[in-house]
Amino acid sequence: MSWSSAGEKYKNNAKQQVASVTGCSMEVAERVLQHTQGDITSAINEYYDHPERYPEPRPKTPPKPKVNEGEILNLFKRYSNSDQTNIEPDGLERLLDESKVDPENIGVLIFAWKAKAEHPAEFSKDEFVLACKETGIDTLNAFGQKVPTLISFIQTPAAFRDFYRWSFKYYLTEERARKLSNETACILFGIVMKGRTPFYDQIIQFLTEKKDEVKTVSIDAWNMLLDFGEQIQPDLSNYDIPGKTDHWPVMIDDFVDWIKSKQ
Amino acid sequence: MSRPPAYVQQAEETWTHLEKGLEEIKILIEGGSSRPWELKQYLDYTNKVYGLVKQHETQKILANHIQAYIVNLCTGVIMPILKDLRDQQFLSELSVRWYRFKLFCKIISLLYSHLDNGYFNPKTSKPGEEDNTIQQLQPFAYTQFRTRVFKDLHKTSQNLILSFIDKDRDGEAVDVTMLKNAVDLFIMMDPKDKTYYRDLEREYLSRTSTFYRNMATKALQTDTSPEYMIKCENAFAAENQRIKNYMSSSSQIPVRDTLIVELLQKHVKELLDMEHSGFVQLVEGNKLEDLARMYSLMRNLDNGIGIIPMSKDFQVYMMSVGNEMMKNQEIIQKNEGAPKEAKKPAKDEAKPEAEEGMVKDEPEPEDGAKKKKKKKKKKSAKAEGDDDAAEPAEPAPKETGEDGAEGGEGDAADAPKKKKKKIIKKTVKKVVNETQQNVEFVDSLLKLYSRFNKMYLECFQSNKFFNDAIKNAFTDFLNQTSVGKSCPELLAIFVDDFVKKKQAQQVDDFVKTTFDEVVALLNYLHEKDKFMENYKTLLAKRLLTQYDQSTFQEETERYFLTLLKNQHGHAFTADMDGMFSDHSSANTLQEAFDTYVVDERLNLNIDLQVQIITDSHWPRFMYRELQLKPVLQNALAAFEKFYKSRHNNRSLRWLHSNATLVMSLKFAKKTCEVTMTSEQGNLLSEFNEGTFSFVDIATRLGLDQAETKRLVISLMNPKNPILCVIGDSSEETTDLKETDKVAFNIAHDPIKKKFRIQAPSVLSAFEKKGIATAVDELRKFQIQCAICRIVKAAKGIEFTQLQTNVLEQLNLFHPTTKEIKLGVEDLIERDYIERDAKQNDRIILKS
Repeated sequence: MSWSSAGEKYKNNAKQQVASVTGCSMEVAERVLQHTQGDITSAINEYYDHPERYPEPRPKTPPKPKVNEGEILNLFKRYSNSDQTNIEPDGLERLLDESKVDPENIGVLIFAWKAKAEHPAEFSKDEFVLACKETGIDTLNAFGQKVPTLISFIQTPAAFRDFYRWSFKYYLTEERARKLSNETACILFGIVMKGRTPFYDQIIQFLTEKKDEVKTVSIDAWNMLLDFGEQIQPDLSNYDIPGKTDHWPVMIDDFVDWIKSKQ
Repeated sequence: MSRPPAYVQQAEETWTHLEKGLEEIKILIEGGSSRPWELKQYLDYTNKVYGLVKQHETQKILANHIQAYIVNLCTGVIMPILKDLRDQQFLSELSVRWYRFKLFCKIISLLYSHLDNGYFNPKTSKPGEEDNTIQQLQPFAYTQFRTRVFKDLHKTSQNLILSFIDKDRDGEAVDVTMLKNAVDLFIMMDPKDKTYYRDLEREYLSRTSTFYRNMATKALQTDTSPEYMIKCENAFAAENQRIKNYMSSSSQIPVRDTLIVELLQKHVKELLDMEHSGFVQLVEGNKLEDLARMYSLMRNLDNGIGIIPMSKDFQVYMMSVGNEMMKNQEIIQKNEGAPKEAKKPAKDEAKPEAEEGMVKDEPEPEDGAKKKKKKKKKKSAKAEGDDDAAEPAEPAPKETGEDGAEGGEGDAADAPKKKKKKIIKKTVKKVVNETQQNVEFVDSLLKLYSRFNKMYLECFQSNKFFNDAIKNAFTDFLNQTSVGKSCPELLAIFVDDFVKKKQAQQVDDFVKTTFDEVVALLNYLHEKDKFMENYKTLLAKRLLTQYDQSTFQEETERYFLTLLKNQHGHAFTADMDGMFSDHSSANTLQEAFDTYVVDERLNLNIDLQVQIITDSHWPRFMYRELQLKPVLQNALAAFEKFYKSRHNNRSLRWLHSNATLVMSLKFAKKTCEVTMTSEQGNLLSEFNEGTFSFVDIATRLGLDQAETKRLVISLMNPKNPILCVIGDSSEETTDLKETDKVAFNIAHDPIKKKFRIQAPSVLSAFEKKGIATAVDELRKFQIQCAICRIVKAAKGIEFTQLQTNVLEQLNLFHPTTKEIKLGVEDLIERDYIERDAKQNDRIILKS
């Protein structure tokens, strides 16, 4: 079967697979698949054998828009605390409120990711300025308009993966904590994974239902949850192939058992 | 007619002499009267031969003569005799004749060796001479015998030989020598290719085969398998003997093979599965002799049809017996477990108060900071101090002190008490039984193992298939069921019970065998680490509670430890070694302390014996604060000062719960000095204040109810009841109930003035929990270590392979997939390892 004659569904599926395995973008995946006439396995090999042939296209987001740094600082001052060192949770709340951005919007989180922010709902001056520069925001108006569109930054699988993994650490609020509480994980998962996995509702339901048994989520379980959502068929048919796919963390094993028990 | 030359005449003359000599020899061989030749005669004869051989002309004359003589011997003498004989007479004569002929040939080949060398010697023979002259005398003679005698008679004699062998096999008496010579003839007539013999052998084998085929069919209709096997064994022996008697030894293997096929191979299944006496029935009936016989017979067959099916059956049988035992034990445990279960709800209520009741105004010395060392004390209450007697929880009451326990006694009338005693007896019995049952269960496991192991060693000659069978079977049933889970613990309890016994005082064969069996069973357990922790805790109890007694059987204990070390390596026993060395260094330290006390002119008013134990080696102990009397406080402080002076950087912590103390108890008839553990003493002093149920006591002391009950019962030993139940007399009860009121048994009259109360030997809940925690932690640690090692060595490894390798590395227990996964997760979390970004089932070291 040649690539050009393949069905749209197959194409999308194949691109998805290549992209998720290699971490390349869908565009690159398409190019590799063209080269291998649609064969997924050889496409992956091809990508790994000759990465230089498939450079990632420049991110679609055009070169960083020119921003007025002074305006940014003004914006920061307006919402920062009295020492003007940080934007604190209540400052952020005001900012979101006045810019009419829904706090649950994933864009807010992406903004924090771009800021390389360390603490939830808080921005240092440097963090805030960095994020504004990256996203081309310099006024309250721009903030209100652009934050909801920031989702474009996480369109490539690689970018999303980075974002996804970062979000776990971002939400580790307590000192020396290594695990997210069930509750936090549930909220975070709800924000970042929306529409990205067929298991979305089930995972949230599982975490809520089992909050007494699954009290925390480890970083490994969190990271693997992404792989799980991307790689596993909705019918779980490629989940537990002995000797090949039995490496899933315990929480995910429990999740699958839970699904099976429901059926 | 020309006259022959003179030398011919002379030669003829000499031949006449020589011929006479030959006749003499013949008579000699036939057993005639002639005396054996002397050397002179012999030399004379060979000289004459030499004289003729020397000259070329006479050589030939001599050769012709002697050859003609031999031919004549065959055709003229032997044949005519044999011709008219039949059957046995014939065969007998033939064998005799052949025997003599052979002997004769041997002798003439000696006498005519000059001729052989000079005339017949192939090296000197000229080309063109006739072939038969080249042959030396003996081969020539054999050839003559073959062509002139044997050829015509060989069929007849073969049949005769075979029929005699048949008779022999049927048990008739036959002339073995005759057969031997006759068979020898068959061999010698063609010593190189043995065609005649092989003919004979073929027929012989075929008859053997037929004979045993019939025998087997017939025997199997009536015989049990042991009977049949005896017949087989006899058949093998008989045929073997037959070969030795008259056949060529080269026939041994073919005959054996024939027997194997006919007797065993064709009937192996029938034999092994025979109803009532098959292999399994023999194992069941412990028929060692029959089993050994069966094994050595089956050993002759291919492993695949004999030994392996046997070992499989063996395994299945052991498994069924083992599982049966496990099932029974399970039922027992369930029955025991039930009443305990019922009491659980009540337990928690008392808990919140735990410990608090104990801590009074005086803080424990050295209780803060980091504890590198724990300390455990022993006190002998020889002190003369004048303290109040009824200090609760004070472990060193004085002789002069009033033991208020009598207060509780006043109400207890004699009559109800007697009734109650019965109940107590029952109660105590039950507790003892629990341990007893466990011990008996392990004992029965050991007996089972020993029984099968004996079969393996003695009957199955240490064949590895049977070893595997034992291993598989025991591994299977020991680890499977819920009882299996407790096997490591039970095994440790068994060892504990065993080393306390009198029989274990010396390391004799009995002790050695028992320990070997224990170690063997341990090998089959998956959770060896559980055994180790249980054993360790029990060992700690033995070391501490039997400290000043001669009852601690160090030699035996150490012997067992050595066995463990040999089997599982040094790391397995490191803690126990440490415990032993603490134990043995106690005396030195004690002496030093005693000297110190004298040197410093300290007046402690008390005999303080301290055992220092190194924290890291010993199991977890319960730290319990005790309010100490000044005299004791002083003593402990003195010791601390002394110890600090020796080891400045070590910190001490007193382990009061493991102390031994002596209490003086005032019974109605006498006052006794009683040694007991501090826990027992602590509990006992409560009874200064009245009568209580064990639930009350638990609340008062802030102890777990089950614990308290255990302690109370330990003071109710029917032989020596320090405590007794009073109040209502429901005689039906067999258990100490929550409502039963217990009091000091003032009416008791101990036999001795000084005695010791046995510490409760069952593991307490605290100890059990400690064991479980220790096992858990150790497992986690070991799993993670193994993962790190493997990942590091492999640079990167797929999870499946990692799991396999972890299982290979850990032999003390079998981690589950879940445990390994959790280990991986934990290590990822702590940044030791990570998943390969491109392949998430691949684990790599964190860069």
